[in-house]
Amino acid sequence: MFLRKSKKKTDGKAAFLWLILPVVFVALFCVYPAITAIVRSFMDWSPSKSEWIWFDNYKNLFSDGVFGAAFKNMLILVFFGMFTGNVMTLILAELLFNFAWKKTEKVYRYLFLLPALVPGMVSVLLWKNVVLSGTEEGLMNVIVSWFGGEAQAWYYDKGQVIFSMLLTNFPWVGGVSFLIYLSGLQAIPESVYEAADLDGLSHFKRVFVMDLPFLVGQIKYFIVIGIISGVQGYDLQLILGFSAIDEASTVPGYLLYYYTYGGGNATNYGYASAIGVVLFVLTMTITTLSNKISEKRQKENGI
Amino acid sequence: MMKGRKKKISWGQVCVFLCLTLLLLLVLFPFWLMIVKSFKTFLQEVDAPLSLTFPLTWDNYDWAFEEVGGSIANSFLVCGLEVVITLVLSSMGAFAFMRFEFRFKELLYSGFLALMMIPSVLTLTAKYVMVASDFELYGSYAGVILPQAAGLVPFGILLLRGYFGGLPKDLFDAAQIDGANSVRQFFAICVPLGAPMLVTLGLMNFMTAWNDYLWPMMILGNESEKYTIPVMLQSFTSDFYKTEWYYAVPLAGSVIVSIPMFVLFAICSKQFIRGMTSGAVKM
Repeated sequence: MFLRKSKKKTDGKAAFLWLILPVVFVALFCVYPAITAIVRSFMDWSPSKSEWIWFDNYKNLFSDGVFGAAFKNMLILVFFGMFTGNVMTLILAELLFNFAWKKTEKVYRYLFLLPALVPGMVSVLLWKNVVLSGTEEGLMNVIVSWFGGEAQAWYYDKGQVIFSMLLTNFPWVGGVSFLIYLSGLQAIPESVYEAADLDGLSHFKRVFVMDLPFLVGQIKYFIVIGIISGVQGYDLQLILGFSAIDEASTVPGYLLYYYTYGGGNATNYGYASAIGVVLFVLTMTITTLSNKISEKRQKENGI
Repeated sequence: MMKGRKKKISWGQVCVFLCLTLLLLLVLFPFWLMIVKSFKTFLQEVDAPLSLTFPLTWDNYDWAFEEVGGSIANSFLVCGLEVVITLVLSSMGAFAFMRFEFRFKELLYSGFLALMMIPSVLTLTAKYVMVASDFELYGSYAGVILPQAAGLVPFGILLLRGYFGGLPKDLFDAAQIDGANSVRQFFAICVPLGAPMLVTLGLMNFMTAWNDYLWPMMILGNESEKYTIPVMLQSFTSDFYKTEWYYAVPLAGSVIVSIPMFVLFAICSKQFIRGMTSGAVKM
């Protein structure tokens, strides 16, 4: 051990030369903008001016009705997104895991991967223009008409827009997360299954008392990632071309984008930075909390 | 592996098979519709919106390729450069953390890891103003590539430091004794032995870059001949609909831009799957 350690070179100069490029690059494009954002969130900052106004951006933010509505929309999307993002992928992983026709299983596994290879933009445009299109030829409207319903506007109906966004990508398995759940299931030791068989545990019951506890780590990972990307995300609103100040569909991230890039009088970098700081604090809190919880769990029962 | 638990073809298995098939059909049906509709003329679209109609209109594909073909090359350029820059920087950083002892080493490393926790929304505004106005990179590829590549470096360092650290130490020591300097050691040991992980990381970053929409869209503005695939597809789709009132040609474009990734996947599916799933090591 001692010998090994002594062989490692202690050489500040060489290390400096190897690190200088990555550090400068990352400092310039990741660290500096983050610091600027925090500092400038206390300023009235736009292309033409830049002066200290301290907490005014935050005060305005918390009394801004649009921001309030956006925050509420975000909470709804994140909350339901946790279910849509995980339940179906878990079911898919369980089905594949319990599927005994191994050759078919392998083919299916590849087929379920295909949507993950298609550019995300293609999927969103498909849902926008083909599946949930507001025209009578839209797939969902055709299905609705089979049941005698009228054509709906979906994304472009203020009452339905949140529901439509949640419905997007149904059945919500078009990613790679099912593979991660699947490899989690495959890592469960065979002896545990034998014990379960001996205890006469039915397959269905086994899923809840055995498989899910074993997958806690993966589930936690996807929930935390889901929340963090959900808090920040606004791809759908952007691609669907919604107005950022439309209270029915907007989210805080989209407002931030609007105040950064909206053009004309909308541009208010300081206000946008304040939104960014609020979302940053929120995601940090969630990550810290989830780490605390899993540390506590680890101490209590070793999972 | 688990032969013991699964013996005969049972009704349970048939049930599982049917559930999986139904799920698969639900997943793939929108993509099937994309292909079906991409071959339609306007009249065919109105007559039979959901079924395959003949004759197939291959003209849609000619038209779509003229519109989106250039963006495929643009995307390869942008994503390729992003991947190269990220790989070079993160392997340099990872090598330094693996090979040398220096003051504040772990502090600096934690700094890199902490950067992964910073959400992109926090930096978006300041980064945009810095790149577009201060550096005057608005409308240029450099403005798209440099910040995006930098953003992927911390995770690259994390992944590669672990991998390089797992290489046999004796190799480095032997090279050291033979008088090979750190540059030689890097190219003779880390690059060839780290190749599997470098490829995985490269593919991962390539996928991320390939799907980027927001940043290229903001930076490229109205330089439409520089658009990457997602930006081009989005703008072409809405422009086309404004004049033609249907989507066949943009859908043909969607099919065309999806092809490169499928080809890449067919060539190296194993590394691909590893790349796509190793995002979970982040935690």
